[in-house]
Amino acid sequence: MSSDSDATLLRRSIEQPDAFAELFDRHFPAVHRYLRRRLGDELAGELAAETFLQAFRSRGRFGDGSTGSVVAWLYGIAANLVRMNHRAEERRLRAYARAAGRQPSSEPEIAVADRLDARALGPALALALAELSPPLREVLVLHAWAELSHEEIAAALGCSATAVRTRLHRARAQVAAELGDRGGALLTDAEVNR
Amino acid sequence: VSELDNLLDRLGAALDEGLDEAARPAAARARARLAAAIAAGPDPTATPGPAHRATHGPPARIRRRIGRLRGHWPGALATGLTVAVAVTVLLLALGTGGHRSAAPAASVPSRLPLGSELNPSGPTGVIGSSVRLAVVVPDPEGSGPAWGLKTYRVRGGMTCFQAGREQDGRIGAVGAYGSYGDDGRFHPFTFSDVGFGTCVPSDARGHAFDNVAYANAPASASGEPCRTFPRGFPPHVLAAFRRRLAAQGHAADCRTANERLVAFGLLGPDATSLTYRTAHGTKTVRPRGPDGAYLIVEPVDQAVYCNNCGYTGGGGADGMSLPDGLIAAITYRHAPPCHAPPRTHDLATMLRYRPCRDVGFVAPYRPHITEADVASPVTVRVVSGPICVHGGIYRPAQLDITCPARVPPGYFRRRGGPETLVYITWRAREPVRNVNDSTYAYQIDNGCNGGGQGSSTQAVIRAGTIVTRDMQVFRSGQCRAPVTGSVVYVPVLGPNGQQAIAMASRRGAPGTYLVGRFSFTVPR
Repeated sequence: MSSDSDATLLRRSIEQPDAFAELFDRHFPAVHRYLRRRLGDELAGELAAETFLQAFRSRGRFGDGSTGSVVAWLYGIAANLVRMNHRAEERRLRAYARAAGRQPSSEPEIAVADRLDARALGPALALALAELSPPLREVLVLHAWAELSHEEIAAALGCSATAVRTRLHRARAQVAAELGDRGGALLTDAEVNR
Repeated sequence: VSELDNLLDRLGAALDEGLDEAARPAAARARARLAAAIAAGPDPTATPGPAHRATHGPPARIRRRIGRLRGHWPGALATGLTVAVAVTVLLLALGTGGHRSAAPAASVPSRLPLGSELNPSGPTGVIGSSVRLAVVVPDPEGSGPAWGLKTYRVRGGMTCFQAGREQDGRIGAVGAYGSYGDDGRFHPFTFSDVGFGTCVPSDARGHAFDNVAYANAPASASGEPCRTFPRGFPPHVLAAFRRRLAAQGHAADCRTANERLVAFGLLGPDATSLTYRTAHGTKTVRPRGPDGAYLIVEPVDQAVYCNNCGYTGGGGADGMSLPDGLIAAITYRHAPPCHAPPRTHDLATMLRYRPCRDVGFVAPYRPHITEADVASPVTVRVVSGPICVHGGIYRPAQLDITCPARVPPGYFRRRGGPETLVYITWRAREPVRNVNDSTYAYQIDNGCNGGGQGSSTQAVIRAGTIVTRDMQVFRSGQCRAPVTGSVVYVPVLGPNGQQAIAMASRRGAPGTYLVGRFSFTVPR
């Protein structure tokens, strides 16, 4: 692979479309993994391909002299496609929670045990994610799974970094609330660790 | 970075199961589409920005581009084609794909069925003699094949049940209502594809207990995602995009008329009747077979209140998970009937209510042992530094490590959080024959503010095995007190595999047996 930046490659691909192949090679695995986490095998393959097709066809819109992140732009396209399939995502998260076999319990002694066993929170967390509204879930997983900064998420979603921070805060609070006592304890633990 | 981020990391890693197998064909298909797009020249739907000069090269140049794109991935494309041909031949040879076939024979799933990841180290495979088409009911709209519920045992102490459309004794989905491109064919499920169903641990008598309900299941039984624009494309959707979406026949048309309320489950051998609510009153059905199987398929009607619909079972050690707005009552041979929770805000009525339980459940494994039978020295080793954790599916016996200079393959560096890891080692004197009915649990108290964490072995363990597990130590940097902990043996189990992990073993939790205690200080 060349050492050219993503933006350089993208601009070059306007006149030399084969340059886009390198962008594909660089970023397809991560975008596919991100989509697969959210939507499962079949849709992820389809939408990852669609993401790069749309990116290729609209590469001229990335803008002359743009300093924005190409990665954020790609995830922005992917986010638009995910949005149209949010019900599939919610089903997948619920299916995961079901398969993992441990649903959140209202029984106090089990709740305490689960709070102490972070691994046991996976299914409950999946359900909590499924309960989030699509815009809040989008911000949370772009941050946690795509590892985008607030600014990159803002670029991907076409909103301000302040709006991203606000949504991220609301998403975290809502997930913690969904996890009930255990979620609250997790946040407290996090505070302790700071 | 909060603990929530770390949990999200772990959830993401769990969802990545099988990523390697999925990534290569997906990349090959995407590359092929990209190559075709380049070969097609300028896209009429694209709206180039000011930098786009639309100077696509001559045909020879395009051919070179295609050559490059294809040249990068000939192996993947060839492999994909070979696999596709092989799968097609195999399917034809097996008589699948909508052809009539005899009753299903024993089979080994190509991967673990859903839910059996509870027992990753145990044997898997469907026990052929256990396969049973338990219930068949007609479609409420009289459209297409009937609906069916099939149960089968899986080695390792699990029972699976799959629901969907039924044809010739097989469960599957139909190519209708937008699914499978409306091809009109029957698409049978494999044993590994439980459809709307799941797998749960069997009890001591081999029976399983669980309840599942979906308020808006696709009428095709496909469980596929919905079509993007079921009521037609809005004007702003570009023509090319419409064509592509229309070509995606693999998507259900999720109009209410194309959905069903589907509820099913296993009530156990003692259940004699189940009464459920409909938009026009109630209906009563008789549970079938040794597992007390039932299947409800009704039109979607907002008048039917279905709490917990869209949420699957789980249950607890002594509770029962029911779609309680839908299910009104269950009767049993040798036990009082069970009724759905009252829909009231009256506290006295609510307090009088006794929730349904899994009548007939027999805990599969409750040995008569004492703590002397399981006692063992417990040793710990504490290491500090950035922590590398395993990617992919969670395997309890795979230990996290402190990161070397180069992160090893299969690991990823944990972001933030604690940088202390403890390895806990003991001798398992009592075996774990089935992870669904016993386990060793280990826990630590971080020494300050009452915090701590714990986990369990979740693996089959032979008697006498030296067991080592790791745990990350979460606590404030200001906390200097020693960390204390214990290991306990837990043969406790309830229906659906939910284990009461005995974190309170310091005080001797009922049903747990102390293996040993330990303590250590966290390096500064």
